[in-house]
Amino acid sequence: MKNKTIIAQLPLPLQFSFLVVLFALFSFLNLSLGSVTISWNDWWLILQDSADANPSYRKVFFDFRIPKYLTAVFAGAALSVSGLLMQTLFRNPLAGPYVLGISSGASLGVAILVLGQAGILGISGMFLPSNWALIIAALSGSMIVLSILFVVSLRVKNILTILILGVLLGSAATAMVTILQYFSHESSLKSFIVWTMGSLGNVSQPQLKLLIPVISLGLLLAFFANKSLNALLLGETYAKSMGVNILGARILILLSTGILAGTITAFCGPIGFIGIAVPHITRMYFQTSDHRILQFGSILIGSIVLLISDTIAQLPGSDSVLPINSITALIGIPVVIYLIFSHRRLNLYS
Amino acid sequence: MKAASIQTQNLSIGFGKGSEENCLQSGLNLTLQSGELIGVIGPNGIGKSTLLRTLSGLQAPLDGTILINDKQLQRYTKRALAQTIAFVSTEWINISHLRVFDLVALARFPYSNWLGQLNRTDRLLVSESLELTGVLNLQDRLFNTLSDGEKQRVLVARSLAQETPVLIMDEPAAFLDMAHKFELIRTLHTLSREKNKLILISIHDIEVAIQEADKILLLHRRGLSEGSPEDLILNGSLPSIFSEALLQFDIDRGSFYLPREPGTILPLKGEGIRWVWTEKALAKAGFRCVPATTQDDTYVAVETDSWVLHQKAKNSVFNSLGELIKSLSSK
Repeated sequence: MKNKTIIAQLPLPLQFSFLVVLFALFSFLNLSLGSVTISWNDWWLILQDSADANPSYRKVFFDFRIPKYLTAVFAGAALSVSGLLMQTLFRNPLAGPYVLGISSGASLGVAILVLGQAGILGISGMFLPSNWALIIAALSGSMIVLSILFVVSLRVKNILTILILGVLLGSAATAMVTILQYFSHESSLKSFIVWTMGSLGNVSQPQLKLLIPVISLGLLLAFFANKSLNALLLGETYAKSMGVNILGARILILLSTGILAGTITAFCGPIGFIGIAVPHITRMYFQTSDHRILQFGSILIGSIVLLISDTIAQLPGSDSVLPINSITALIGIPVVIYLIFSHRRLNLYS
Repeated sequence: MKAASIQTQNLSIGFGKGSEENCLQSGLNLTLQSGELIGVIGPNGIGKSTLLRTLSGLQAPLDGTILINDKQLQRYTKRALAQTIAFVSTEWINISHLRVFDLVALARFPYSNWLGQLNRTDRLLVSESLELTGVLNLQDRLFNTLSDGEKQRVLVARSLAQETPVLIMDEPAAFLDMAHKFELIRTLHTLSREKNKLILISIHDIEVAIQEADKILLLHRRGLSEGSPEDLILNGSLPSIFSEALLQFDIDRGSFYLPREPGTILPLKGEGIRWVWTEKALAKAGFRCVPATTQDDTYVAVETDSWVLHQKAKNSVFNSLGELIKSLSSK
């Protein structure tokens, strides 16, 4: 990252090529490292789809590493792009995918499922809902929050009102989660806490078949918002004077963020930090505020950062896995602090 | 460019709805034509910005109708309106990593495709606009590294690049130094003539407005007066706008001043421009100058290269007004 000023002077295709190389490198590392060490020879056999390939390695590769890898790539891209959208919509450098209370809503959904149901059914042991049930609970929670914001955004003129409402709704959801936690049993509490730590490894192959198209749709919507997003950089007054359909743009941006952040949270739990940090890293890398560049850049950089985080979280060679949420923060924070201080102007956004 | 016009009929401007309605001006009937630079002046809070925002379609009127080129403002599509009116706001813009050229190029929004791609004509227009406001040399700089005055000229360039027959600007010259202020307003004046644009700007600097504007919209408590600046001075409407603030209008020089408390009488002997500026300096120091007569024992004489304080006992010579005032004030 030291030569970022040099990178910023390179032509755009080269800037992207460098990221693609990094992406390939970390994809390789992410797929090759894990609790099981697979030898070069076995790799070769797996990739050739040879009958001689070790079946358990094959299983590890196709049933665990590939889904986890794809989840990391799409989650990194989705969270980064939704963070970028929120930062521009609210013109706030601290905004991220969860600023609208999407993750709090999802937490409440999951808390009701895990803690509430356990309480109602009087199960004293650990209540383990199915994966799909968790996803549906999380998704309903975030969609309820998002729908309230939608209705409000149709009536409210000032975008800051929506931001404040999002924060308030999030706080209300968190408060309800706390009440549920207070009355819940230790073991179900733990399974809820584990959910809040985030995980990329719980997404199965059939679930990926849903996750990938939905995230692609969210990214496509974001792509259609690019022109308006660029105009919105100058604020809503200027955007309106240039013919931006403010309400339409707002809805497109909120919808895209809701799909991206809501889906990822439903499948992986809340994954913090990426959505706030990656857009800033991308702006500094490309030295631009053009969303047409920033969006693709955020997709690549977001994927790379989450792949690195996941590779570290796996603690290669060991059986333990660290919570992904902690790793994204622990890796990302020093990177951003370094970027801020190595940049002479101490500004991220303003 | 085609002729443009703005007409209002019984227009009321302000904020809020129902019981919380705050009407700033009402019953405004205006007819503005292209080919003129029109200045909006008036005291703070009288509704200058609100009027400009309302005429630009950024804010709904409380009542009345606005016709842009003989068509009701609300009947314009967003794109068509953006191709008709460009706006410069007083809003503070703070964005990192946005090049000056790219910022101005955003003005091509109502003309470009859904991706916002620029063609050669677009790029040429952006460069021309930067050139017109004298900031072409800044085109590769990042916007947030510019000075306030440079930022303002870039934002004016952005509005020019929108290529509209109507330009509405809220305080486009607020942060500019005297030279750039005159230069910008003169550029706008020229544009209004040569490209037949309707340019409406609010401006605090009344002297600049008087010197450069073809027409003035004067907003005051009792409503609106319009006319050429000279007409408004001669009929007394311009000189009286700050009367509540006790400001007086110097009709010879076309500027406002705040009268001072009558001070100690001091006879002053001399003539010409040196006498005029000596009087100003002494007035600030609390002296009211009167022409010296032969009976005066104590008086100040303005010489060609010095000032002499004549007193009964002795005369003192001063080389600057600063020294003279220091000596006078200590007595």
